Amino acid sequence: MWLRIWCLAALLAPVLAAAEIDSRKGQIEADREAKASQLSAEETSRFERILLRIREDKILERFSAGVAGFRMKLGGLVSGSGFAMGPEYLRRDLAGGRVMVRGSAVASLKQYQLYDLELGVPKLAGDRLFLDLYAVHRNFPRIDYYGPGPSSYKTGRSDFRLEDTAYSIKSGVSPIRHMELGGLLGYLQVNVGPGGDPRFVSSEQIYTPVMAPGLDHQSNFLRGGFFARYDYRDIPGGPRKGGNYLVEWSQYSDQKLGSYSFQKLDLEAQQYVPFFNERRVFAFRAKSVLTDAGAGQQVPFYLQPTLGGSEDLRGFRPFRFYDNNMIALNAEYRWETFSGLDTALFVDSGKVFHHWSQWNLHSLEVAYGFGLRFNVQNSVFLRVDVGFSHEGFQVWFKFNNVF
Amino acid sequence: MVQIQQCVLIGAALYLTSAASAQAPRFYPDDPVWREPEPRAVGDIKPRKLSDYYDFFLHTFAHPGEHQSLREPVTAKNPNTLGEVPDSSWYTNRHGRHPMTVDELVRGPDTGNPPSPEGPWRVTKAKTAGVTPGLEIDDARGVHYWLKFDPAANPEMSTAADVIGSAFFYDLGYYVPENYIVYFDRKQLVLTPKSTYTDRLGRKRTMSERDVEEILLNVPRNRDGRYRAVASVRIPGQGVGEFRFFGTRQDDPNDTVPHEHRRELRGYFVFCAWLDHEDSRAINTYDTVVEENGVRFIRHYLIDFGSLLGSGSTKPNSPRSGNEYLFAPKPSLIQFVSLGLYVPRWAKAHYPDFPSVGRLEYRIFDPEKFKPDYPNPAFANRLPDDTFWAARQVMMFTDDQIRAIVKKGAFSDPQAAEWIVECLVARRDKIGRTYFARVLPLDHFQVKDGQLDFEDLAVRYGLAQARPYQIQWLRFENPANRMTPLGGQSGAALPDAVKSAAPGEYYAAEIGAPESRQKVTAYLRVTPGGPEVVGIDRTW
Repeated sequence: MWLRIWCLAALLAPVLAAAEIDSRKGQIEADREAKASQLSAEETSRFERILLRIREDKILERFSAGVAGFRMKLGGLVSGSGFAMGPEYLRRDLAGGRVMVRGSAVASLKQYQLYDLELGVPKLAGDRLFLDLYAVHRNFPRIDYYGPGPSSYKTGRSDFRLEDTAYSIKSGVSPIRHMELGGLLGYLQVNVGPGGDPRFVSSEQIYTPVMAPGLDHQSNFLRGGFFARYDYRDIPGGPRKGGNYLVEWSQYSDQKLGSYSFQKLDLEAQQYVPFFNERRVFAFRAKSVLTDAGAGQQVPFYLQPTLGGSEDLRGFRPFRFYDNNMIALNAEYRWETFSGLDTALFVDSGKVFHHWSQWNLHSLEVAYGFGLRFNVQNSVFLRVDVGFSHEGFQVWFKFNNVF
Repeated sequence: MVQIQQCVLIGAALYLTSAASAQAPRFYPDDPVWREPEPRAVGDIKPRKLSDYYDFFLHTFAHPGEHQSLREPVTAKNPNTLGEVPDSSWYTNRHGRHPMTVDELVRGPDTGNPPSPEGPWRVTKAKTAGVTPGLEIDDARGVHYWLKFDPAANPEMSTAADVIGSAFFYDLGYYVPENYIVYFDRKQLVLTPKSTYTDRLGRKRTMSERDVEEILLNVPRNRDGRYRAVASVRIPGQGVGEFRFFGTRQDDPNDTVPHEHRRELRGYFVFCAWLDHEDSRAINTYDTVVEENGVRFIRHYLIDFGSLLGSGSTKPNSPRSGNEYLFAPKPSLIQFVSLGLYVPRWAKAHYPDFPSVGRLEYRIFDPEKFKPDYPNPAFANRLPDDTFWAARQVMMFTDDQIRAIVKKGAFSDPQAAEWIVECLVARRDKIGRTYFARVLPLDHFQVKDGQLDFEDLAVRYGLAQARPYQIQWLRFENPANRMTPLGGQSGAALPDAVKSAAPGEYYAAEIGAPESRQKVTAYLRVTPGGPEVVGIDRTW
């Protein structure tokens, strides 16, 4: 009996309610009445709360900035070192932001190690002067060496251990916006030892000091030089327009053996040509490193310019080519796929050569490929490049922009 | 078991028989309603905050809310019988219903309450995180304001956008904060022991003079050395978080219409397209509990207009903003596989070099192709009658009115201001052309001199030539929602049956244009004073 009454009441309730409504406002009130009977607290999902917490508490920023200046550093070693990480101490807020201190200790799965310490005063005299002190110790157990010159064989792969410690002072002036002029002074200690990669023979076993100067004895170097840079890129971490031009001359003076003093000239030009509202960019880079050892002197192989790897000839293995000089030309066509991803087609070319007189564009090695550039606010944080060459293909995952 | 079967049978029979007789009439005596009933009092509302990350992922990949059906369109659920939005805690009819004077339009939400230039401004809080750095101050009278600044490379850009945007959206009917352009000297800012500073890592501490210096370091200064900011008055009431563009608040008894089906939120799409407001997402809304006439209820605000008119708040807008979602699979795939050789039209747009404007243009602008940063359920549900409702309001702004409102941005470069005016005028006209073509754009219905009088807005604004209309008269049975043609009656003149009808009877005029299937049906109710237009239906 009660069940029947209840059913009838339930079924007729909306009908009766509708019959009672005699105005639009009454209908709105009735809707509100119905809603009022089933109110509950406004909740967000657990997932949303987590994301909100990440945002509100600046979790990513804090992870990036670290605790009391300490944070985790990813990468930062040479190509071929494998995944690397380690603690880093970074303070940019000292002396009211006028002094920067940074130090890190990074090691890779392949036992590459790097320890460095930096003290920077980037804004002296109203942003006109800057000073940077830097010390670094590196211990790379498996640096590849394929022999000297552009004709070295891929099958000639060997490896060596490179240990060096460098101290440098770099200071300069910014006379006009975008321009820096300055000098540098440093001291470099180098040690080379047998390579640690069991798959390959150690370099000293198949190459001689004649082929690889300095393979048997390493030295210490005093380094001094000058540089000029004009950098007007819009966003250095992922430029879409502007350019970056660098000329740096330095002198390496052998302090121990007296046999390996030389001069080095670094030239680099980057230019970015945007079109279609900067959604497409042609990016160009020309880079050359020229050395001159003078009479009776040689450029040690561990300080020679190299080619190959994720930064220049991307279809070749890291350190594929060594010689006294090198030239590299890179061109990329980049297009925006969506707001967080640019895709790129690239062509790399370059060569190493023994003497300045061979500074030309003949007999260049060529690589080509494509890449993905993931960015946040146009700064690249992850790059995936696939490069092809007559020696095969290489896949690169890098936490930086190529240029 | 038998009882249950009996119950179901009895219930079904009763329901079917009584439902027909109790069917809600199409028109109630109080239609059309121009103002919703006074809100019910809310209880204790627990503030909650939305995550913008979550909002992005949710709308980009999950598409929440009710979607339009191809079989039967889901029309907006809150307009009155004329298709207008009644005044409520969401919306107030302003320029669209009662044309405002130029002074009123320019004043917008302002109540003449900018920070007092006299006396110090006590800084209470500051932050360096977020889209733009900002300060919270109390002026000498103790009134609280938010100060937001322009990016160093784009003086005047986002502050102008903020005040112009708040004026336009107020005039269009929304609740917005009061925003004022202000200029101040550094020495006007003073700290108190209670001043707090939140750094970019979210850490709070007592604020120092150096913190103020750091914030102002990247703020452009005028030639006279003063800083320019937009001062935003604190929204009254107790903030309880943002509103979403779908569903309803579960704790608000007055929030009964799913937001994706609110006409003012569907039509917001058109306003955002007009003003280039691609940052029109939930995170830029604000619900607040206010008390009026002793009743506490939730009022819904739109906030943060620094990303309008080509501004991206901290930099000029990206060219893709307003034209593409931040991420959408199809355009991304097209870009990827075409190697970028497919160039979207927006990528070819030309933007004049006005640092105080950012990237605003009108030549490639197509209102229907406008896109916010990511999908918005209310925008996605818009139908031609929603966009007509909004376009009609946009078209009401004359060139001079637009110019006067833009002037509120206090641009030092008159050419920059004039470029914004030129863009808004051209974009307005494109909006009219686009959305007046999707319905028969007839409006201003009234019975006058024994005729059904109306106006073709496309003709009025010079977007179409004058055209003849076919009018068919019908008798409308309100409770049954049934129409019967009145034979032999056509034309705008009221049929004899209508003229001689008794009060309470309803008639309808179905109006069409040659070679168009778009129709407008005007419903007339006979009152002791004569027939009155009480309903408008549009089909397309």
